[in-house]
Amino acid sequence: MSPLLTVENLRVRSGDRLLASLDSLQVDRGECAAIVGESGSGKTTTLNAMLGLTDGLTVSGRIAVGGVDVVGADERALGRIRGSKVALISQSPQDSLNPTMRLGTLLRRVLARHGVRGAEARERTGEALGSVLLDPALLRRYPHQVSGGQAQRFAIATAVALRADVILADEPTSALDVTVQAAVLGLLTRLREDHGIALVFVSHDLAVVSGIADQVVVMRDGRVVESGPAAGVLSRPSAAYTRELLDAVPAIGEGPC
Amino acid sequence: MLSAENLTVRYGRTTVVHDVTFELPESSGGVAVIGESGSGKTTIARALLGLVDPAHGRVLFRGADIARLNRAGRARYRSQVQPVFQDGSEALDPRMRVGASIDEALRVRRRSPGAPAPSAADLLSDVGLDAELADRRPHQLSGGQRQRVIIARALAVDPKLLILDEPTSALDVTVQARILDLLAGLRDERGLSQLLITHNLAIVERLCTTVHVLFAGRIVESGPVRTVLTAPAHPYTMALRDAVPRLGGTREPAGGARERTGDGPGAVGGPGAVGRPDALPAATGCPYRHRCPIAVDRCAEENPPLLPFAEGRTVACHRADRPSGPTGPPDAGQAR
Amino acid sequence: MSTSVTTVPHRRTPAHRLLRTARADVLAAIGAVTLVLIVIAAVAAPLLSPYPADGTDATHPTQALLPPGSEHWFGTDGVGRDVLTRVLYGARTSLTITVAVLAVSAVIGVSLGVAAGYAGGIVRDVVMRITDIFLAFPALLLSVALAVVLHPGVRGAIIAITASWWPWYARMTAVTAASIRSRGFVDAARCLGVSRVRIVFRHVLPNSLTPVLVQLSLDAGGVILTAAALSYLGLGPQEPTAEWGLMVQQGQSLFTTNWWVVTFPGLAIVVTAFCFNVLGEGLRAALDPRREVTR
Repeated sequence: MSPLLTVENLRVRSGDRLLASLDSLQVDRGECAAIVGESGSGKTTTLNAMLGLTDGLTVSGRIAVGGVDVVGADERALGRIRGSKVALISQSPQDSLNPTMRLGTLLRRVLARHGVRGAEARERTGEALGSVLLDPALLRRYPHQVSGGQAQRFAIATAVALRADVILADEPTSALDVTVQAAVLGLLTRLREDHGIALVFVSHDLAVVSGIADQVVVMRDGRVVESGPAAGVLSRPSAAYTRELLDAVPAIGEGPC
Repeated sequence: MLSAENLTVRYGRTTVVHDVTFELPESSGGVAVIGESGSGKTTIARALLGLVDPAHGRVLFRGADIARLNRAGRARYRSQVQPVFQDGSEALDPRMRVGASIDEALRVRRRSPGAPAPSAADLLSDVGLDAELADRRPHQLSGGQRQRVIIARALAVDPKLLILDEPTSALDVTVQARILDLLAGLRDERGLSQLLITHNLAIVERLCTTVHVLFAGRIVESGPVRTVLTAPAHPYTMALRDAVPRLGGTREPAGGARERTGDGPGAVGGPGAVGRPDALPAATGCPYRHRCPIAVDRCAEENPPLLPFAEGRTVACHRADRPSGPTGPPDAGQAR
Repeated sequence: MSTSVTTVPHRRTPAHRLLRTARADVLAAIGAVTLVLIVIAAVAAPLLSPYPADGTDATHPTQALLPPGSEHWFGTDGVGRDVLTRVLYGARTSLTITVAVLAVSAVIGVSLGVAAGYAGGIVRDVVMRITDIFLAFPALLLSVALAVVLHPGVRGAIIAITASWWPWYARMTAVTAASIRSRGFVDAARCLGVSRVRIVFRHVLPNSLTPVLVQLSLDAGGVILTAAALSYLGLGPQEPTAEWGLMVQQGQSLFTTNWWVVTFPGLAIVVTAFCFNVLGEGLRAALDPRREVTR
């Protein structure tokens, strides 16, 4: 069986400027690939390209999600892929939720848009909330009435309810407290193991990545600097830039220099 | 130089900061206040800066209550204690060129006699920025550059103490490392005291020698950074330490002191909500007991007071292993 | 994406931005140009109009109700005055009323609004209650009632309309100023020991002004129409002053037989109100300080 997510010779350009390039990436069921870089490195652009969110940009190469090509697909095809196959989890899910609707309504509408209604929708909702450890009472709240960690769990629950095969996570824990971050990372790991979800995790923090990723792609200025299995890249980085990123990670026990 | 004495702050009927006492001695190395969102740490910063009035207790500047300073005393307090807010809070006026923002601070400095004030260009170069950036507006700068401008503006009045509220949490790790270097340099070269307020234990060691851990508006543990981080006495401090992502770290948080956030009905809502003071029932018992892996019956009945624990350390936990204390089994709290 | 931050050329003045926007927003540009032409026409009315005397108190009963032609492009009215001349002179009155109403309303509204929003507490409560009282009456009704009490004329119309206009700006500014007060840069200025007056004038006021400026240009059309309504009811400027609303009122009975008497001043009202509106929309976009990094 082919991998859930395949990227080949991807190039994203804005006019003449190369925003992101990725020669090869394959993420299989239950695996996690991390794309690491600073802001402006093209990591978010790469993630958006996987969702077909490339308005005004020139995209070449091949991206296949669950066997369906994303590059060149029309809006209707993309609409079917998004949600049912791929789900995006952003840095601040609260901002992307309609503030005038309760979480329960939002979730019901998203499911209905993908043809899941009635008893099945209720069943999937209950199951998804259970898997992210959210109290169903939370569905009666509005987006601004929940904490950042809860909103992030809700976003993940939505992906689970839609039975997405691939979760694309864009700095999902950067806005969270470290304790909440640890809980969300643990949750994502468990979903990979229990549901076989493939995860693409974009972050600027190699320490966060090291706890979750199987493979790491380090990007800078739109180009891949280094890539490979997480253990190798993190313990024996070959690129100077990767070492720079590793050195920047604050750690307990190093003491003031 | 600056101290909080039984500081209690309320917003409406919600008590956000509860009877907090600590000191920021002059040129003593940095002091850190650690806590997650909703713990009241930003409110403490605002109270120390005189931006919110305490419901009880006082903030003392060189021994004088800041609410009762006369004009000259107030001006001195203002110039010596400066905030560095996080970039995300619009700490720079979006309509003003950053040079003008710094000039505004310099104008204040020139009001008081003393050594000649530096220029905005000098200040920008002190924080490692090109003087040309003075002509830019905040949105034309990167996050790291903006944070440096915010520091430069604070330096303009020649302060003795910086109150840093999450100075790096909106930044990439590489940029964060450079900002921490800058702050450490300022501390060493200018003898600038620093109060660091953050949720991230990992950056504390870089700047501070003393740490206060805040939970639900109360200090639950205090002491030297080295010993508190290597051998936390309070289970919450352990949880904070274990939550710091580590290179080559395991996928699951370390076993022993793992919080009850991941499993069981007690975790519903996540730690972000449970930790909020407003989510807590009436103030009987230890506020941390719902998340505490080592809580006993006594924790539900009695809120543990902050008591001496070891040399220079205090902790508020019934189960802390005090050398002379009668409470708790010897293995609790210190097991790791 | 923040990738473009470093490539953004700095030193962009609001004028630059406005120019750039104008190019993008053709409609706003057309509106602005037309308004400039209308203002020039109003100022130069004595030079442009073929029969300057008709703008004031001359009458020519023998030439009444001539249709548009080479002598009188817009025709003549019931007492033989050149309608083109009356429309040009009417622009002076209508624009004077509009500018005066908006300027006075903005000054009163913004001052009270900033005071209420920044000071909070009792000041805020008092100002808000006063605006509530004014807003409790339907705007047009309040203006009409005041105009009845005051001496009809240009000045009376200005006062009457202003009374119902300023509370909106006070409200709007109070809300904006209160939100600006809690922003980081105001806290930073307070911690520096910057004086309260300076904080208000350097930070709170400039940051509160954008929505008001936009609203002013959007409202200009409304003021013209309200002034016209007052004149129409006989409560605004009186004969022989030329004013568009008054001209419409006097010409309406002739509409079926002598359409030009009412049509041209009516068109002037519609065109001017429309131009102010599109300009307002353009301003709203141009004055957003973050506009440059959106792409």
